[in-house]
Amino acid sequence: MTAMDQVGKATERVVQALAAIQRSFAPDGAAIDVFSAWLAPWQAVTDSGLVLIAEWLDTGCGEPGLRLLASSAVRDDGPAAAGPAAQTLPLELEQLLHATARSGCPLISNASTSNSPAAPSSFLGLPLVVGDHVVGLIAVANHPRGYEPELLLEIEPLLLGCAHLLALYIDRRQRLALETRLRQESARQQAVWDGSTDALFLLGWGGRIDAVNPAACRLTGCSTDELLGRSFAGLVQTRQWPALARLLEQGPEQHRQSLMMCNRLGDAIDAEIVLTRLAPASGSAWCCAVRDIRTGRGDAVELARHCEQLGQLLAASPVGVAAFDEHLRLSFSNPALLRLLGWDTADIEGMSFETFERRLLAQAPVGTLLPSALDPGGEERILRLEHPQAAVLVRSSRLTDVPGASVIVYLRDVTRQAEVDRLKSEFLAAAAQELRTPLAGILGFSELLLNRNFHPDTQRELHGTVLRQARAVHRLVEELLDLAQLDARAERMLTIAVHDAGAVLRRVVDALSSRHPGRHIDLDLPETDRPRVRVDARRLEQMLDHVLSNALQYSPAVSRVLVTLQHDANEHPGQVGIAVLDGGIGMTAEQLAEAGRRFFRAQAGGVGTGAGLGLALVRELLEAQGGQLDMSSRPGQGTRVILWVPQGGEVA
Amino acid sequence: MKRILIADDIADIRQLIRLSLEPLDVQLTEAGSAGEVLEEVRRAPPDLIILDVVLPDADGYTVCRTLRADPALAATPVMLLTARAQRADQEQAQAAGADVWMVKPFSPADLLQRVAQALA
Repeated sequence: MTAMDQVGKATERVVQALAAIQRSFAPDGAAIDVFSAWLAPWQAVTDSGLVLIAEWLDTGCGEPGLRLLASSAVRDDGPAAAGPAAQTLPLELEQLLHATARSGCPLISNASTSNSPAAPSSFLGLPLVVGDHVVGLIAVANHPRGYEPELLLEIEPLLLGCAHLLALYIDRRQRLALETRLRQESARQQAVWDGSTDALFLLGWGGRIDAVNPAACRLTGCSTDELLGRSFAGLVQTRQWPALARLLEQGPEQHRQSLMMCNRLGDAIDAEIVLTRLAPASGSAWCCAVRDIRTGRGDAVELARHCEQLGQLLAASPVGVAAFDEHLRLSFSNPALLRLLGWDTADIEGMSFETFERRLLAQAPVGTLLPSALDPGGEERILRLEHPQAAVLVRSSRLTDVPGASVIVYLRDVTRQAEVDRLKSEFLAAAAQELRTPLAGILGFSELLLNRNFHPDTQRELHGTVLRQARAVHRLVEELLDLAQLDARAERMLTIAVHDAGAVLRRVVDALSSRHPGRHIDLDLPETDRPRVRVDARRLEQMLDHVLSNALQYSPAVSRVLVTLQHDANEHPGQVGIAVLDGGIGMTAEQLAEAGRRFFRAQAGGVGTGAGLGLALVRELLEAQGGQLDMSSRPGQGTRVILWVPQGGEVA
Repeated sequence: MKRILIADDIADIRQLIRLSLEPLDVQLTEAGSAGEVLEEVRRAPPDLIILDVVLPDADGYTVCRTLRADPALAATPVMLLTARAQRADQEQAQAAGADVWMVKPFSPADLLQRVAQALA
């Protein structure tokens, strides 16, 4: 019988034995006994063979172990009897197994199966044949702890002599788990490596660059390939080389130092490096983390600049701002606040919110109430101040989560707007009042005419008065509209063209003379002076009509009104003055200053209507055309009004 | 015969008041300025002054206060007849011591009635 035949037969028996085991599915120790039984033929096949059946264990102390389940006899010096378990392993084998463990397999412990509480419950094995020899056994075990039979057992073929057998149960799941853990760990480390904002270099002995992360490439401006294998010293400024060399040769385990480095373009990098010595097994000597502190300083500078900008904005803001911290102490105020309230910085430093409010109220008229600043609505309220000067402020406050600014109070100066509003209201009231007087005449006389029987002469006179008053209302309404238009869009209501000043004057004087028979208006136009003016002719006529009417109205019937043209190269260059001089009642300096304001009436000359708007309209119309109104007067000595209008070129 | 002083700077209004009061059997005198009013009142205190607020030299409130401050003239009834028709104007008239406050434009019939009441 050849050796191969013997092996074949032994194999057959093994397979049969395993089949029997599977059938019987003997539990625990029984299996071992059965298994031992089929080891015998192997023993017969191999002269000094060894069959080792082992199982991976979780020893529970973190270190995996291998428990020897069964083995053939191993001694050369005696007949091999397959025992239920091998008590000892030959020295060489143990050494071999250790070597195996070092090569990546977990450690093996030589545990006795007799003490084992758990043993495989089933086996399935196939012999591994190399050439003419069975060199191992591939087996699958079903584990008592409910492991799935995915348990793939690897064989570690050990050729001891020529036909020694060794079967190792290796639970691959542990290895897979370990591999998974290592992969995860590696991925995490990779993420940290790639994501670090610090430039990381792994340096070999002598400072050769073994590995770099993306931040290192960004810092140096070099690609990974350009950096690998280079000396790290190449990235450091020459004069710093000795320091670096000392550090790499005999630095402590971890060292932090500032170094001037340079990037690919030669730009200096103000760097802080942290050098950590690595374990020899890591394959590199140092891990070098580099941080560009210039950038960090740049951020700080940027932040400071930003803060300064904000500070300037708040300082320049016309809105007064006061912030109070968590303890309701003033933590911030801007110049506008101090200006609006007339306070000093020193006065308010650390001021409590309560004091702030009290001081604010002290400057307001008696009886002023402030809304609670702790009302998160932040509603705007008008706050009138009497001290240090009269002012109208809009006060609002907010509750915030901003550190150091739990309550923010805003004060906005609306004194001017309030004044404009007041003037508007006054204007409307004055306009209404101005209209009421002629309306009183119209309504009153109409009612009397309707209800009483007057003498026909009186009747006629009263009708005349009603008509005159109605005209006054009409004129006033027109003037109000003109003023409104002037306020809104002066340029669109004017049709400016070049006109002969004399021709315009003559038209107005002729019209007025015919309306006021018996009155004398002297128009003094020299033959040689025929000035041209750039005006809206219709508006100029309207203005002159008004000024001349005033002159006639406020001067005695016997006096004359003089109209002349003026030039004043010093005060009014490029302008022509149309002067109207009367010998009337005149005005005081005060009245003169007031004249030209809307709804001013110089004096009641016993005439029918107020003339409030007229002069204001003249002044505003004139200014809209680029001219000026010039008035001088003395009580009892008459008034001189000059309408300065722009001089023009050729008559259109 | 009762005497009424009509004080307004506008002649048309003075005429309107005069015509409105024609049915009353009263003596009417006129003034066009605050100065004239005070002069006339001191000369011969009327039974009623119909006083405009806007006068060239001083306003009607001032005239009213001046009268009230003078023990000899303080009792003179004053009707302020004014185109200043806002609530604040009415308050000002009361504060100045006016007895009646009436606004322009007015109905002659109403004026007649109010004046008759004031004289009664």
